[in-house]
Amino acid sequence: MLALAAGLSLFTACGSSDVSRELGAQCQAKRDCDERCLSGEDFPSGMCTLSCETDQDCPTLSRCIDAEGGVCLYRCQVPADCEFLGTGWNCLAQERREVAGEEVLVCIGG
Amino acid sequence: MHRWLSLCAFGLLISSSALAQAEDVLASEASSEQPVPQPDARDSQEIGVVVGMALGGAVSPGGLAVDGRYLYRLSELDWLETAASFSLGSGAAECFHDRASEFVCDHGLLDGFAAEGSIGIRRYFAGQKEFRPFLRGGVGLRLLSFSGDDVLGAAVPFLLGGGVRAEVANRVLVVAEATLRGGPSLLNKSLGLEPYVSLSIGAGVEFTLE
Repeated sequence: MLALAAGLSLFTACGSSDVSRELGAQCQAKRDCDERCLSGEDFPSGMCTLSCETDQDCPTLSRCIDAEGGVCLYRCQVPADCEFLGTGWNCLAQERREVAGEEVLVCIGG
Repeated sequence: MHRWLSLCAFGLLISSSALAQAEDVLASEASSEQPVPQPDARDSQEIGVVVGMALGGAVSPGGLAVDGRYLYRLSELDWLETAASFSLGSGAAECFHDRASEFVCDHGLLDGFAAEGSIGIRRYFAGQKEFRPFLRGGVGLRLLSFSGDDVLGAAVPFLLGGGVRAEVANRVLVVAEATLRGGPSLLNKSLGLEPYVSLSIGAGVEFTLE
């Protein structure tokens, strides 16, 4: 029975990824996401994300940026870190929501 | 007068001969109707219900599992088992388009709804005291639904499981069991052919019918 459970866990684990309805999925409208859908030139193909006030409000691998009223975006160090989001995404400095004037590198269109 | 007596005597002779023949026929028919040893006909059918938990994930529904079954004895050890099974889980939306525009579902272990009809064989093994273990194998047709994502589909899972049961009262047995389901499923929303896997664990009661 343990072998069966292990096999099931392995199977379900194969379905996970860093992109989810919470953060990162492509979207056209809010219904495509858990909370909100960002669209426009800054978010090519649309991107699901969460509203935030601090970094603690965001999933791992993301930061709270002072844009669109405070949203979580994937953090990065070089443009290659954003390639998984598709074409049109870059790694650019953006102002943090919780610390005015302080910037952090995140994935955003540009 | 003598002729009438002779005729009556002949008639009696014929009648007695016919009666004797009829008795022989009845006797032979009666002997052919002797009870043939059968598996205890009183215990040849059972019904039962099991409640438990089904664990799915991805595009395999899980949740509260309810299973009603009918069993018919085929031999001393083997029973034909037919069942109607349901699993009821969360209807939360968990599907999305990934960055390659592919529609993927990442449902939890207890999401979705499923209804299934199945048929299979249950085989009993020697147990200890009143406990009797069994294994089962079979095949089902399972309808799948994830309402939050408008995902619908069907699966043809093969069932493999086992359990143990014990008689707790006259014609009343309690059962604990686990069943693994696996097979292909076909889903809408561009998901197409996907593997179906779920594990259900439960306990219930079965009744021997007259």
